[in-house]
Amino acid sequence: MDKQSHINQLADEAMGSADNAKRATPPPYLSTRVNSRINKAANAYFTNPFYFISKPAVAIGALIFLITINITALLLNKSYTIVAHTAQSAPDIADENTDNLTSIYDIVNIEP
Amino acid sequence: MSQSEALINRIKQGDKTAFTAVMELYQDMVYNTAISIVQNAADADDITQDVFVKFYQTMGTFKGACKLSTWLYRITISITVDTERKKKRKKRFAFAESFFGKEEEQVTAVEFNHPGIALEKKESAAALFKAMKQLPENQQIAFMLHKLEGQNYQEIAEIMNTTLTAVESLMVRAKVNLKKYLQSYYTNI
Repeated sequence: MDKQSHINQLADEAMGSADNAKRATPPPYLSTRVNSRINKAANAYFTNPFYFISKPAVAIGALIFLITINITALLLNKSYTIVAHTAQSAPDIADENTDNLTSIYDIVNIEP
Repeated sequence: MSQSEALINRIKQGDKTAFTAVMELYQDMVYNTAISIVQNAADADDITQDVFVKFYQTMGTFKGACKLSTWLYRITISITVDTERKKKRKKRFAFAESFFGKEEEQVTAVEFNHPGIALEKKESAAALFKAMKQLPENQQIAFMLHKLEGQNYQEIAEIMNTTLTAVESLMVRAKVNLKKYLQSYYTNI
């Protein structure tokens, strides 16, 4: 038998070596370990406050909520400032142009 | 109502024995699938645990459109492939880390012996598993499901969410590639 056909034979044997293989079995007490991991995860959910916050959906939701509140606050504050400024400046302009200004001079130097 | 649907309903109602029954029914299937891909007993054990934890957390989304075993195969393959990708990424970064003085962990390639293979076939099976590691991901999964899990092409197509023709093509390419790797392996030893 030449070398190449021997190599082919070995390759064919290897290809068929997994035929009729039995299933590998996991180490014992798998269910105990899985149940312990599930309980641990459930406990972490209730005991660790950051567990809830660190969830991507919660974190992104909170971020969007905060940004919305900030933008709303900025816009409201801006319009309030304009209204307040207008309200404050209107009497000042009126006072400056009035002829009926009462000052200490007017009070002291009353014309007979 | 099928047996798997009945089991799922019982688990949803908080029946711990139903969950244990599912684990006992499918633990060999999950572990065998994982160990055949990762080729490491400790990793396969971790993956099996992850699969059942994920199953417990997501069983509310199971609509019964496929068999429970198909669904568990999908979870197993997804977690196993993720684990393998993480390992490969870690290996790539280990090389970069060596430049920054971090001590490189010495990893020696250990020959994998599948526990279910008969003793007289161990040597040639070790060569086959070594060659399987060289295959592209999809070909490796299709070949493993067929050879080690005994699934037919139709079931593999359902598990991999693809067509029967695609599975047939994957299997042909996997066999051709494996033969090539094995011939080169036996030529070099």
